[in-house]
Amino acid sequence: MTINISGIGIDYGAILPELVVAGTAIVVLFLELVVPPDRRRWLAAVTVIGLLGALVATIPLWGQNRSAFGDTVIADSLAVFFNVLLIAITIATVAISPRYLHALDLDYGEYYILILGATAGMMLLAAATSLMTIFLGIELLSISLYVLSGFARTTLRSQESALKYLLLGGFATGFLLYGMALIYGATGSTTLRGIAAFTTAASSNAAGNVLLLLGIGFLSVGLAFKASAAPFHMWTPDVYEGAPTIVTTFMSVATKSAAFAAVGRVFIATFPSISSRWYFPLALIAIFSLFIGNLVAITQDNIKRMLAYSGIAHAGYILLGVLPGTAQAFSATLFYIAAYSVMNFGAFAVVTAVAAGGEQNADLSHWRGLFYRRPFLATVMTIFMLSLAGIPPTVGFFAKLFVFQALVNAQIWAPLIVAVIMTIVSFYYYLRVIVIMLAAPDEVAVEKRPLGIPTSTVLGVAGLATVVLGIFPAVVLDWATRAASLHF
Amino acid sequence: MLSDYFPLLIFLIAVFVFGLIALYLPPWLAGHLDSAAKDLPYESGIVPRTGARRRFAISFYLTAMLFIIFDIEAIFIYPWAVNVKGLGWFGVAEMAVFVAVLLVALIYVWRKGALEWGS
Amino acid sequence: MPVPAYSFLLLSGVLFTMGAVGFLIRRNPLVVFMCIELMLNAVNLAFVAISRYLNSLDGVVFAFLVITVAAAEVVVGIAIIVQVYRAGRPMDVDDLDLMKE
Repeated sequence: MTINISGIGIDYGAILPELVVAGTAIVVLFLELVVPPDRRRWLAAVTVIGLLGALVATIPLWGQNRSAFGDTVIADSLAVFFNVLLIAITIATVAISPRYLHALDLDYGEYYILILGATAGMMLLAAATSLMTIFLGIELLSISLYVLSGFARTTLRSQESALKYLLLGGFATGFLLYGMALIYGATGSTTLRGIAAFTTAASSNAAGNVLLLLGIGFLSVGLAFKASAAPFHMWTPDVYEGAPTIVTTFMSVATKSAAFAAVGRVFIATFPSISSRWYFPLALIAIFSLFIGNLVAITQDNIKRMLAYSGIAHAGYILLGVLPGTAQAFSATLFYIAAYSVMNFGAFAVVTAVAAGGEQNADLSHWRGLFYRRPFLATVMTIFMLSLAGIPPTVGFFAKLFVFQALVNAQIWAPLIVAVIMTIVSFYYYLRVIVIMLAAPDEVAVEKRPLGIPTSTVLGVAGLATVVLGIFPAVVLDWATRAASLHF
Repeated sequence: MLSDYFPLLIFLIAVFVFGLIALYLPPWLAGHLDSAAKDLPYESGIVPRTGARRRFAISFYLTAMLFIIFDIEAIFIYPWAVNVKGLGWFGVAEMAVFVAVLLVALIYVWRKGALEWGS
Repeated sequence: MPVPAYSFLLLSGVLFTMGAVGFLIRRNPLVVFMCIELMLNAVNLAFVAISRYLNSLDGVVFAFLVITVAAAEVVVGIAIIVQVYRAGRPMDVDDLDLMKE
């Protein structure tokens, strides 16, 4: 018996970026064995080179519609949009890593392998068009991040954060998988194309199929957990606080982006015909995230915890753009994700830089007078805080504006009103950081280590991008619009 | 429908009755004799030296975990082995890549010293 | 007499619920972790049963993936739990409260 291999649609070109990233991880694994411990910085350089290779591999896929491997992955503009975003985040993370790892005595090559593994998982998730590949992508990124959150092996907080992330993450995986099993049982297919064909078929009565709806519900719980949307956010503050700051920086933006790529593919592209069924629960999750994130963030005195709650709130804003279920609204979501990635990465990168500079304590009171000690860091932090709050002329303003516009066009009022009120509430805790940094410093002698070229470059570029994109948002919005035209 | 399960009920009752007979008939027939040797967990086996709740060395866990992770990967080789003729050389090449990746992991584990025992 | 497909799904549902409830009420991290594994195995049972019922191989392949991924998760998980245990922390998830507001 000969098996018809050509029918499966094997096309390595379609997943070349993911393959390059995974291959780089294997190369770094080998190099880790031979490179002497004091040269481990070179592993960062190899990692960046591999990521640049993946970037080159992903660009030609823009504008294509290459479904491969039996409809399990697709190379389209949406995948490229996320690939570019994720690779950029990873390069920036790796660039600022050596200084932080060195300061905390965590100079291990495995760090780069795990970061690459997580990136490969996220990229796979963004390109996934089958329940199997969505599951594989989520697990690849999760398992890597479990280890990374516990990377400071001897620190109790880091261990605790890893254990919490592991247990709650495994719980969410269980729900995700059970949802997938139910969807498979209801529709008889594991590919999103097959599932979409089932739900749009008039005979199937998909909107009344209890098995399918239950499956979608369980699947949403799993995805909402990864995107840290309330009420599935409980792990976020503890894990963000306990994990090494550099890991928090990476996962706060990259995991969220990848999770929303999957949300877009599942809800907007696969289940548009039963949007009346998922609209209300999703709106509830968004509103809940906005409330919990913004209100609890006010009470936080630890900058990492505050940013964790702010991240939950932003998950709410991003989810708002999914609600109308149109490509135009989804492009606003994509723009928001890109903007959030830049500004939130920047904010956490500043926390990382301050921590690596000898100020490990992330308590806000230790940030008093940062403007006088570290003028550059404090200035870029101000930009990121203004942008996260959504004050012009920063990219965060347009991100919120586009999402709100999409809601107005779709005549979705209740979530919009909540979002506007909560945005005003959020001014308080973002501006508070700026006020604290401006306050007269306590007379404490703090050991100051120089920033180094990679860190200052990354921070400078992120700060500049936040402002420049806030003045000329059209370019990225154009990309987002073209990436949002999902087709199956 | 329910009558289909009737044999199962008979079976369960038989199991229960047999268990009771095996447990209580011999002592009743033979009488009972107490001695120190009779109270041992294994009357004619190796005498346990310590309690069962000892701590194990960490290397047991490490070896067990490494075994599991490599052992489970074999699951992907079975379907391939069944279809190896149909898949042809393409399948061989694919499996070679798969095994090569596992080999890289094994080399890493070996060079890191995780396979050394008791060092 | 073949067992109908819905009994497998029912059993899988019961197992999944047992795992989920166990996760919420048990306190030892190892036991909590075993509850997660129970949930994943319930999912596997559902996949295989549906696969047989629909006469499609997708579910079996999915079960293979779940088995291997669960193994990787177990290895990482046990390593993390052992690490916490070696730090001399009491083995109770309620005591993991270094980070409370």
